[in-house]
Amino acid sequence: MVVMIREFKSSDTQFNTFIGIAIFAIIATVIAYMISNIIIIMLPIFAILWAVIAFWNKDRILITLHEDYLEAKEAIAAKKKLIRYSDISDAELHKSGRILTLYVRSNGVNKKTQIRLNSIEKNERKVLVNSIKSIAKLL
Amino acid sequence: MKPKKKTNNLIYIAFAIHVVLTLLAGAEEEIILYIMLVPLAANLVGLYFLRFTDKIKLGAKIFMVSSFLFIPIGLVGVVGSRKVLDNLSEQEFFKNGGND
Repeated sequence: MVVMIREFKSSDTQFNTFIGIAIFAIIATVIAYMISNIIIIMLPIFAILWAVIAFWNKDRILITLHEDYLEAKEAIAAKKKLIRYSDISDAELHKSGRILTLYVRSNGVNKKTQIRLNSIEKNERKVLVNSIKSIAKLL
Repeated sequence: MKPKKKTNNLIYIAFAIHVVLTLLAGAEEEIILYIMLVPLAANLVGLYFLRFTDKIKLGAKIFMVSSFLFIPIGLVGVVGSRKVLDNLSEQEFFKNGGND
């Protein structure tokens, strides 16, 4: 049985940003129509697209810490990363606090795996890094 | 562990959307029809590999790359094929006990 320790979801800030972009595209459509009497078709499509992405991404689980491995999927179309804690040799948070670099031993080869934390609330990022470090016994 | 599905509904929906989009665009300009038939044919090749062969990874990759050419609506196909690739890597991860 897979035991889940903790989940990290996408932030409200990201949802608000995407909705903001969609509203901006709608306003741009109206302004363009008022000025030139032409509907630039890409603008409403852009608005719908960003609104769909915003709702699709809302409260989506980005990183899940399981009992012996972590699962990260930063974006809808991003590759799912599965990493065992026992293979993590080091974890480093970029000074911007937006990128977590994990040094992973895989089949005898050391490789770097980056996890983007942009979509996670700022206060949760440090919790995530500390959790990974403590589970992987790096502290 | 139960075997994972080779395809998913998103892939079929994406392919249907791409066909409709190609026909609609092609109805206006014949040259656009020929241009859009190229990624649509690649879509079909990807779908064939996914559905009828064991080369799932290749099929998903072909479908994903050809769906990029239909963006923004092509995002549906990209997400669908990404799900297939994720399922494969998940199966591999649990089978090998290693990393991606």
